[in-house]
Amino acid sequence: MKDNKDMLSIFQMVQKYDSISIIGMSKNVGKTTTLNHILKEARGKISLGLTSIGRDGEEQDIVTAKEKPKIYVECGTFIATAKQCLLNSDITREILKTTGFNTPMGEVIICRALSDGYVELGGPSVNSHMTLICDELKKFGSELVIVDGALSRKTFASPSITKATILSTGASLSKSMGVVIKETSHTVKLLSTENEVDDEILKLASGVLRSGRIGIIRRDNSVKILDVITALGASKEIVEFLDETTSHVVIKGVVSDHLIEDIMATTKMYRGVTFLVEDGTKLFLTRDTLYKFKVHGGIIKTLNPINIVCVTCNPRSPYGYEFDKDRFLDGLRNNLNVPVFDVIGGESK
Amino acid sequence: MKFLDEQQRNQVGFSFVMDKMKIITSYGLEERKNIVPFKATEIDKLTHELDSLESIIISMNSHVEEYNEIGRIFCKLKDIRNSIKRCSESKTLDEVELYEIKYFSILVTQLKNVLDKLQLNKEDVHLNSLDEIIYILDPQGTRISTFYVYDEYSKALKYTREKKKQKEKELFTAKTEESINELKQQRLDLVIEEETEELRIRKKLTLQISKQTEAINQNIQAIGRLDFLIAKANLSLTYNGTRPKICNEMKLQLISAFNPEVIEILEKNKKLFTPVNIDLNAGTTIITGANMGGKSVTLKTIVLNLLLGQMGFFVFAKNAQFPIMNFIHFVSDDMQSVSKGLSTFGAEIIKLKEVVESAKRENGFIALDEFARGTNPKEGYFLVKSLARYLTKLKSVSLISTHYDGVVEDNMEHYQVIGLKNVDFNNLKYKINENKTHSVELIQEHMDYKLEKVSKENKVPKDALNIALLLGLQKEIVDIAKSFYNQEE
Repeated sequence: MKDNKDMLSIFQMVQKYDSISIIGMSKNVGKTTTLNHILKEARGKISLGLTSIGRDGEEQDIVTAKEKPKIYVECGTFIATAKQCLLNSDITREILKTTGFNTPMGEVIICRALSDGYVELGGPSVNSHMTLICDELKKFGSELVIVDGALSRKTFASPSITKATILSTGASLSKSMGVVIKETSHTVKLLSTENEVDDEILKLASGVLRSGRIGIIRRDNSVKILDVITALGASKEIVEFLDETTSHVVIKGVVSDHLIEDIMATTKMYRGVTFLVEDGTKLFLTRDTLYKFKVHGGIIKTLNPINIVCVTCNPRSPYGYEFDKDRFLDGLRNNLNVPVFDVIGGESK
Repeated sequence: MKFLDEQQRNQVGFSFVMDKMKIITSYGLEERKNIVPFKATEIDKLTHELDSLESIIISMNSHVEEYNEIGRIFCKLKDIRNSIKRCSESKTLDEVELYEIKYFSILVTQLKNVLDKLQLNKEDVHLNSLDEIIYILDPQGTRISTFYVYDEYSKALKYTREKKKQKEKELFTAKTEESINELKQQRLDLVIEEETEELRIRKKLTLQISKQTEAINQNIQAIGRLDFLIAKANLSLTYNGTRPKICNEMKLQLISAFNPEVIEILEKNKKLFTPVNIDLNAGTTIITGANMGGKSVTLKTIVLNLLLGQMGFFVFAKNAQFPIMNFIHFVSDDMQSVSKGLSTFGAEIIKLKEVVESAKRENGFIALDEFARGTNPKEGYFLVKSLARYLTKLKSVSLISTHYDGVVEDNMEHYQVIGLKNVDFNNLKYKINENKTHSVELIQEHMDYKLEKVSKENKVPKDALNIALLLGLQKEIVDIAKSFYNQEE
């Protein structure tokens, strides 16, 4: 087992960044506990800014105000949150600015906590808005902006807009500890998929994202934009344009098992071709598919890196069972190449 | 619609012009949404509006920096009408609303300072001082735009907050679960106390602000008005607009009139717009001319500028003069009713019926673009001729474009598109033979879109045959056609 002694605390690990996001493998994995944990460690040390990636659709409707995670902040913290969430918070607050960005819970408001207390977070769900809000929070004086993120197909905003990301996992994911460990390890792998570094290719790819859904980059750096509505069912069109001159395929949106398997089933031309996705959250691939694809010579890279600095775990499930916290922690540490913290059970050794 | 429906406004380039207006505030957008043409009885109002526009343009030319500053303040202004409405209905404002009202008031003060320098002396853009509101919402006197329910509002609030702060401090250092829970409960009780007191204060503030809602609403109107006027002035400055002369008699004169939308389209193809010169009086005027001769564009340009003038805009021309019209009707074969299942001709007739009905009652402007083009030429000709003759009896100004020959009578004015009249035909034909793929462009290049006033004897030029020839219609057909032409003469 890897030695976690002399390891930095979570806060010490993220302190060097000016923005981090926290995302969860599923509900009840201790994302809020992780956030509160960092807030506690940061207390009195640096000035924080807080916001959250809004969740669109179903999730937002079901989650009532009461069930929204309450976060305990220190006096002086900057908060960007939807108006309804703000009015449900119990801090004394100074309204600094309205942003003009609307969410189902009202406009996103920026305020400063004038007392300690509980806040509810609800932020924008669009990447560009999120980036602007993070900038605003920094401008008001936040040394570290923390984004309460989401890992779901339903959100458009991605953790790639922050400099570092923490992944929360826990027993609520599955009754089998082995499955939780495997799934977590796979997710970390997907999220930290290698980033494309060639500037020329990155420039061409961002051009593709602006003008269409899928683009083929050839070895001579010419680009062909494919006329498709979504990336999900576009295997036929991609296969049609794959040939020996193809160097990269740029895909906007989700890359699914279905898409990759369809491509593998109909052509061999994908070998040696790099498939570029926006970032690791867009990869919805099972271990088997990813493995097969790579073994056959397919390459997947991202345009925006996600920097996973650590994983936090919660051995308890609200569904009434609990893992042995030490075995769980050890299992994760042995399978992941990033530090793992148990923010619920703590270290017992 | 007495002044064109939505689709027609689109067609003549009015919507394009509206989109070109750089209105910044939601109040200005509201002002634009509500523009209507001035009524015949409102000549003083229209003159006043044009005066205002003129003085803003003069002011803008000499105070560039001030107007940039106004633009910057406009960008920060948010729509607070809903909060003001809630306030006047005695619904307690929340902190965000109070913040927005405070920020609005501060911005109004800044705007007022700039306006004072400009000395516009205009009643409708006068801003009331909102110092009273700033005083209410800024008890610390810092003049910072942020807001919270300040300790200064009540001793009780200050006291509660101090106690709460103490509990929070203790909570942070508490060790046992039991003491934490106990402190949390105590804190919660204080939070409730704080919220109750805050609510009481917000109610009081709302009441104080509600006494100022009239002043705020007047300011909102004035800001919308100013934003709109500046956008109108900018429009005129961008396109080099002219103040139209509003006369009392039924006379419509345009010199070098143009249509910004058509200009933009032409510019994309690196082509120039031929300005429109026309002089119209009560009764009928006929425009004839070749196909591709730009008759439709001429009509649209006249309609657009006339409509803008009726609404108190400067017009796109070197010189313009017209009275206040009671209506502007534009009948063309691309009307909306076509899509409602009527034939083009059917739609035209139904519209025409309505036009004549309103022309019997009052005076205005009627433009008919190639009326009855879609029906059989003989009947179409009779209809156009009858209509033209009928319209001479009315006081309205009627303008009919047609390519039917012999519509014009003694009591009508007649304009003709010069077209290919002065072109060296053989030379052009030679050029086209050299470069067949660009025949249409070459014809357009040589087409003279200018209008000339002609006597009624002038025949409609035989440009149709010429164009057919130039575009390479088979000689066999052209020859047959020529023999028909000869028979007629």
